[in-house]
Amino acid sequence: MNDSILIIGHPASGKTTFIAQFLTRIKKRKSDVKLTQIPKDISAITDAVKRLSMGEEPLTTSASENVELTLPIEVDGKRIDLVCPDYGGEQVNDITELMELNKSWMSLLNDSDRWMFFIRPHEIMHEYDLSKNSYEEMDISQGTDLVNAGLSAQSKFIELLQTLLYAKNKGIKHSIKTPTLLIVQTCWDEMRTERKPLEVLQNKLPMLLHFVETVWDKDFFDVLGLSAQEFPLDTDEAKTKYQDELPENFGYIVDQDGKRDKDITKLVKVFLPS
Amino acid sequence: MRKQCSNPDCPAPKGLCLKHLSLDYPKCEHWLGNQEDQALEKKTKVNKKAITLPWTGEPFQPTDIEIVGQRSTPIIIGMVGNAGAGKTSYLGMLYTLLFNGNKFKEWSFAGSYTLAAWETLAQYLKIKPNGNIGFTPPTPSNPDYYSLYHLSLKRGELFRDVLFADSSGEVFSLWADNVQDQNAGNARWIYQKSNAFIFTVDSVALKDRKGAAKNEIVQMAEQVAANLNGRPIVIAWSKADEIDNIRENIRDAVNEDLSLVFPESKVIEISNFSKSDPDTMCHHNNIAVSEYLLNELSKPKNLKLVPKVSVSDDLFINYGGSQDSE
Repeated sequence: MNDSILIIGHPASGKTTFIAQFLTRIKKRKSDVKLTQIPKDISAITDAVKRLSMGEEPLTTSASENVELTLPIEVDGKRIDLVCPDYGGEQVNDITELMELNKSWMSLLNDSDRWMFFIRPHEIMHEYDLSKNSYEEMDISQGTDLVNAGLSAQSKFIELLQTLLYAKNKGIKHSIKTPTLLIVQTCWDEMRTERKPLEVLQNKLPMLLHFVETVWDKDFFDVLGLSAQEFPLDTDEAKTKYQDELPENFGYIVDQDGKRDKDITKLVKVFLPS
Repeated sequence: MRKQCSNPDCPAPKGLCLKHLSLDYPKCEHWLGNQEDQALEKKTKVNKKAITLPWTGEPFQPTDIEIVGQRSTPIIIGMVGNAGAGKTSYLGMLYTLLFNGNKFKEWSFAGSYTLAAWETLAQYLKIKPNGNIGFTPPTPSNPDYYSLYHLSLKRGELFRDVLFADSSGEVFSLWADNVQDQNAGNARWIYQKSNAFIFTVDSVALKDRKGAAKNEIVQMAEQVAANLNGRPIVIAWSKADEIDNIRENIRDAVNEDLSLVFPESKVIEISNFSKSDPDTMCHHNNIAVSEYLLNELSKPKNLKLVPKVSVSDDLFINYGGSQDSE
């Protein structure tokens, strides 16, 4: 198996906050995941790390910021690279809008057998259509105001995954075992839910889940929740808490059973042989 | 700075252009950025682009079939019916149901290379913020208009690429009257190439136009039956929420005629309007229409064993191949 983990996500899917928090934790040695060497270029997340330390929300990275970020890490004695190929996410948009991939993506895909796919479920709105139960009685005020233009989020995710599989020359006739797929539902705290990650995905993006369940071997994909920040930093109280207790003490992942774990660095251990 | 004015004699103050106002300075012939930018842009494009995907998300044309033809023999399901019968709406609803988490009983969704096309169809079934619904516009009646909608499906280890072939009802009506009509090229193609058919019967047309609608439906059915050659067909009574408003004698007559024309067919009532959740005609039957055909096409074929009869005394001529010795 190739030794890198790709973080794939559209713009504003929560990559910045996760990587900032992940890096802060492993630098502070608050995890058994270790940084093997100082990354060559972390300019993409320097600002996010700084803002979190001041108790401020990281700014959304400009979509056109096509920075490749690589964190060389060691997990349980195994050396791997955590790679975010397109930090801003514009290239990820281009893949489904222009239907093309560039060379660097191709080589990263070929070198990686573990994909972490970031999705921010709270941003995905339901739209009403005639198939929804009893359209005559439904409250249309609860739907999104926008008439959808272009591909829906759900179709974009499916298109992206089938494109990446095609680029990696992975057929879908037989259940896929490599690359492994970890769907990370980010900004989990926004959801204010007690539901399990799989239930949330089923509710928000049922066709995507159906696609993944069909195409991947059930032991080689997983669906988790992640709140890298833990709560919004929109009040003085929250900001002070962040400044006092330090950013690396916040954030959690949600496992299949809905249980929370404060160690967000464990995400990179999923699908690593123990 | 890489980009700059190349005219040392230009009297304009630094940062301004003599010939062009404000932000239009790149249009000036002396602006060095022009050529450089173009060259750089070209180079970047050539360098960056590694592969262009074979599919675009838009409907397949017949020449696109080879995109999936390399991995499986695709199944083509032909949508047949008069204008306005709901062929395109059916496809929009099928996708909408999958989109919302409804599933085939036995088949699982393994992706699609025409997602953008499906989404366009599904848009017409969305309820707008003002509560209105936009119905599917008529499919273009250009005889060269082809639109094939793709789904990859799996049943256990069985993998199928399925293409739903949509076309204009007007074109199919021309074909029903004259299969050689020069303006019915795509209907002819669909009829020849399809492995199975969804034959839509428009409940509202039968309610409103009675005998006239019945004649058109039966005429088309007879033409479809002419060279069906055992290909499976579903008779889908569309807009079936109105089926009880069709005069009973007309409904019975259509049923009788269709059962004579298509004795092997399956009849299913479908509607795009869900009155309950789940709604049989909307949620269940729309999916059942395609699933019936998928299952029919995936049944093991009966082997036609022809007994071998010696035709000559010559052993060489009668030799039937090495399998005889097994």
